[in-house]
Amino acid sequence: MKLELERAKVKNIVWGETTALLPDGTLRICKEDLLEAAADRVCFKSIGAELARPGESVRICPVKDVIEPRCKTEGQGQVFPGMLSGVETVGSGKTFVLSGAAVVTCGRIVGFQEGIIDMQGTGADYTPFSKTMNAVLVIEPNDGIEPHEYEKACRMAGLRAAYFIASSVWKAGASVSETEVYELPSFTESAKSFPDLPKVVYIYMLQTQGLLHDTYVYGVDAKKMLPTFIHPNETMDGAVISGNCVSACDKNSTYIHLNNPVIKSLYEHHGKDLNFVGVIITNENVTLADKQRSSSYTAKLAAMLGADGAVVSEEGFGNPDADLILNCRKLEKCGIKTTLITDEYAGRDGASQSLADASPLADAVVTAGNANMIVRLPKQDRLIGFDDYIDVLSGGFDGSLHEDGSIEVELQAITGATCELGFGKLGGRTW
Amino acid sequence: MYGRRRGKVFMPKLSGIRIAAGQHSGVPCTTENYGRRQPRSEAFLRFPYRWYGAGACFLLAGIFFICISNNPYIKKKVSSLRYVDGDVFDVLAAARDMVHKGFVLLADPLYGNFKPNQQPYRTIVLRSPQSPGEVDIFSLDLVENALGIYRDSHVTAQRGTRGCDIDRDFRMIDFALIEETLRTYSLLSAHK
Repeated sequence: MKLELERAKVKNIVWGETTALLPDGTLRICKEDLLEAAADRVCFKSIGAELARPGESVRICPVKDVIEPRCKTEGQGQVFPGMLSGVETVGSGKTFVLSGAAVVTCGRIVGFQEGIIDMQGTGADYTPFSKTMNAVLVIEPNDGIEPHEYEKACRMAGLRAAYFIASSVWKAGASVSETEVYELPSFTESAKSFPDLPKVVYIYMLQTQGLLHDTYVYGVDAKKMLPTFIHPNETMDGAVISGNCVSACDKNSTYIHLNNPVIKSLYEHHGKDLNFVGVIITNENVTLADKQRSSSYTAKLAAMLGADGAVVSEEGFGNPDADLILNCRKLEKCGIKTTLITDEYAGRDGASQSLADASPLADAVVTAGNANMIVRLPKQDRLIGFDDYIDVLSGGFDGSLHEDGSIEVELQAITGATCELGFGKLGGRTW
Repeated sequence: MYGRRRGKVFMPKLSGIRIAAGQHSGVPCTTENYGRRQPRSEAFLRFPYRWYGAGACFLLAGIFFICISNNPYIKKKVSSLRYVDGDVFDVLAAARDMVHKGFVLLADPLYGNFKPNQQPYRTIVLRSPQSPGEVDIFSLDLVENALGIYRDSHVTAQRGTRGCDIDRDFRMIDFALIEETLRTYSLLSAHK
């Protein structure tokens, strides 16, 4: 399966008469057409759109999802299969990507809110989406709409908007600034090609607990699936979609699923110091029997591949910590060495136990940061969205919102701040 | 009062019937007596229901499931409920006590990505002991870890301290996240 990502770099974003990418890298979007593409007259009382650029004094809150504009130009199927288009297997051919642009969905689904993106200041350092040119959809529900229906409508609106922008720009003619090629042969061919390299499988854990905590694979609710293989290229075409917005810091937005840095890194190392044999997606259900079933099944699949090592990335906190440790234990007992990627809830002083579960077998762990760390976010001149319930944000608390407009929150309130796929600009080093 | 008996398989009616461990022998149900091994033909087959707190339990072939919650929304949805009029710590402590008596957790107590300072409601689902007196270590580990998280939390959300709509939403989403487990173990009330 070979996929070419044709990237066009976006350097600015403006409203205009038509949707196109200008030669200087300015993404011009027709606001009326964008709103028409995203509209849902049954579920939405109102939908508006605003722009937010890096360096502007803008706060976006509450953030539901972030999606990168993409569309397939060649090959089977279309982006976001099972959601916007048919259910054909994706991951091959060519896909056009507007790099540097993002669609952000913002609005109340429930009374408490999730997710802050500050485009400048202290908060901007902690979210990767302060670096993207954002087209923000601000949505309000019709009265009486059932929360599940409204969540779905918001999710679909973001996907439609992202696809609309990418496909309109492609049709208008856009110059591609770089092409990335991703090709992973079958396991049999890989094993023959690199017999001396350790076989490494990626265990991709997906949040699957219920309303506001769900992930979809080809449109299927991932809590209802058994762990399964997925080709890494399929994720680049939107086979994995976020329906998850709690909590902001460590949920993987659709943008992050599309640009999974673990997959990218494994591709870079493939054939050099490891043999990247594939990806296993698994879930993080609430019921303990599901946890046992999924972790046993995951270990079995990895063993069937003959994996020597596994990189395991978690999504979320608390309940998923049990899944992470179960996966680790069962993989290690199959003789598969594990490296775990997670974040920490180690208390404001960093001194508490980082995870809700632990095991001596989990001896190689990469941390994405302590989500309990307190940060004070300065006031921003413009707010896109709503801040009336900001003290109920995950990480917020009574008194969070100060009179001067600054907010004291834990890192967990900031979108993508401790992403457990490592998607971000901050890192750590020891000497 | 009791369902019709079919040989050795007892078909219970779904109503609350107060019985106690050893009641048939006149021994009161107390913490000390609970878990004492009863002859199966007498204890479970003749007296399938037990009261725990304010709720009745649904029996299925000697195994039954209970639900502990401080969420008033759950009262409308679950027929077998031990309602705790307290905060999340109280719910977790009650669950821990049940685990010490041999009950087994059926869902992770830390479901949902909400933090102690945010979500004031929690619902725990447990299964009856298979071997009275034997503690399931996995359940104990999970519930003690959950208690540790709440103990270490700087701020713990309290019920009813937010506006009506926020409190309503927290109750609703607490149910939404545990609903699948409740359905799996047939704890959802058919008519509510």
